[in-house]
Amino acid sequence: MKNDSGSLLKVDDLRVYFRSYGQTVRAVDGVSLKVGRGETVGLVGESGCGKSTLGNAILRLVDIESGSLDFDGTDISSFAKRRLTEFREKAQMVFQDPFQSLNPRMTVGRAIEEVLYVHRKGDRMERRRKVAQLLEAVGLDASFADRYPHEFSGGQRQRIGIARALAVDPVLLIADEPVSALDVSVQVQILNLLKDLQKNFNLSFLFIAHDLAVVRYMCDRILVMYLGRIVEESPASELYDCACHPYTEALLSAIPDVDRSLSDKGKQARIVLSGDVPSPTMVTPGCPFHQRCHRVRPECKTNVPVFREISPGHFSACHFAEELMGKEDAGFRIPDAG
Amino acid sequence: MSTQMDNVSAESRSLWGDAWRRLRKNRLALWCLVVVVIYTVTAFYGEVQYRYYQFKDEQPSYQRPDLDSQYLAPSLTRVLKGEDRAGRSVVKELLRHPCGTDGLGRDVLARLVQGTRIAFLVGIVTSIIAIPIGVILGCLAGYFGGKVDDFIVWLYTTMASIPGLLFILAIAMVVGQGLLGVYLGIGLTTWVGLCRLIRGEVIKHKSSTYVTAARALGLGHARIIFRHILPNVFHIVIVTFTIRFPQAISTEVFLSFLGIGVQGEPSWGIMISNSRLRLWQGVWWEMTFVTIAIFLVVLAFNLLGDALRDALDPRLREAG
Repeated sequence: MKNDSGSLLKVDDLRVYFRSYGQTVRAVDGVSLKVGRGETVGLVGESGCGKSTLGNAILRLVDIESGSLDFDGTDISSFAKRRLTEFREKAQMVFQDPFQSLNPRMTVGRAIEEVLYVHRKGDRMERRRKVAQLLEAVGLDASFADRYPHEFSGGQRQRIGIARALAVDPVLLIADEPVSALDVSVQVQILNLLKDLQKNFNLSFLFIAHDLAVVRYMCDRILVMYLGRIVEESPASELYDCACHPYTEALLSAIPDVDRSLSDKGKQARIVLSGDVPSPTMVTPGCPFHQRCHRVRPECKTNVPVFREISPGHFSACHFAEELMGKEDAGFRIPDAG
Repeated sequence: MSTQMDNVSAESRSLWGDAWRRLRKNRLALWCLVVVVIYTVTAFYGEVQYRYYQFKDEQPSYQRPDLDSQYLAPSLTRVLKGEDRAGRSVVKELLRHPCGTDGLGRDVLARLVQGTRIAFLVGIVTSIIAIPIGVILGCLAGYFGGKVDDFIVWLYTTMASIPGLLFILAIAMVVGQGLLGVYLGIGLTTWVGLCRLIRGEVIKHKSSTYVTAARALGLGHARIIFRHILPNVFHIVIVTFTIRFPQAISTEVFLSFLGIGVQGEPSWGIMISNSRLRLWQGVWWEMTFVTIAIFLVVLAFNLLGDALRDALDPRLREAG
């Protein structure tokens, strides 16, 4: 997505800070990203690295410290809360926990219809019809509209959550770990549903996950996030063969692989990161990853690496990204999703 | 994809329906419900009677002194002309004083019915005053947090720091004697507990995903508070209502006993206050029946409140 005109969402140097008791948590610390029309962008990283906060910030669900959000040519970072309603017709979110994202006291039909009502879409009959259409679009029976969320399984609820998000005809869907709370067999169903919907509704996705196999299955482009920053960006096909950031290497090596047996020393062994994630309340000098990096060198502790393009479409924030690019041992085979 | 659709039961069940099912299993709660219904019907009958006398603009029978029948013990009949014990010729008058009469010859049962009416009026009107205050302030404090929360917490902490009865007395004095003073006094002081509970629950629900989802979907604050969060915390309102109802009744009894409450109408408090004068002379019935009436309604409401809490929020029982 090099041509700017083609990108639907452009995030520039976004920062989200949470302040409490005199401390500042830099949950998102200068993130820039683009999502093109019809594109699926994956966002991976370990727990607490700011993935979800970034997703929430893009939808303006949390307050932004600084930075700009450009959606379809409009700067939404300065939108007053009232005007956000228009924006929320175009960008929607699917949540991680399907058991908590639906109001237990509302029937499924009312929950979806309410969205249509708030956005003033159609009269009563039209809304009813739309609800039935949406439920069928996500593979549920239209008669389920009169039921309550607790009557459904996790996968079904996630479908309901997706139907509700689609009610406003969005063009961008931010999926915040949409399958991580589900059984593996159901995960694939939901992923396939999302893929189908992307085609049918012409959606762009920002797909947040910690499961690299899922991301590989879904995404065109992958962003790797660490401690509130993007450390690597790469086309999906390239990342898994040629990780150019030690953190991505470590993430990839953590994927279980049946081909890699314990005695198989010839191949790359699993990289175990030492230590914890540094507290996001502190500013780490140098590279934010140096305390845990297995390739750390003296300059990492003092110089902040630049996030730069090392091969077409492949960006990395490591001093030695070019070296990693050419390295032999960087490849990890991972099993395909499903 | 269609494999998803099997294991859904044929009949849709709401959470309220589930709660009712759980409540129905509780025998004791059902009996309490019956008692409460009987009281409610009685209160309603009392209201009709009261309106009837008002409409006819005459002194109600339960207020009219009848000096011939002072302090009659509970009985249905009275012997008018003598000669009994095999002497025959007995004329009995049908009296219908199953609970006896008081010092002015007024039927205790009729006055009890009126007392029920007043008790229910107090319970309902004070709830109508206190519950909206508690719910709305609690929702606002919990949802918006920050300065709004600070102010509301300050307000109810201040209210709670004043001894309740003093505050009620003060309000009743300002407004003047009578029911209005009782309504306002009790209504304006008893919202604190509910407000606290609601605030806490709303804080809990505010950070839940379904509220974030509602915000992401572009719903307004008012809609989120009253259509999404409130139904999820409403069981607290119901339970609080059943628990504060008997409290309001007892407070009214107490106020009337002190003479600041109801005037010129037979409230339970006034009846107790009157009956204590002749209690030592053996006039036991008025005091007895009033206390039984109060006891039953308070007990029924409290047990029902407990059962409702269990039925509406089963997690509480599992935890406890």
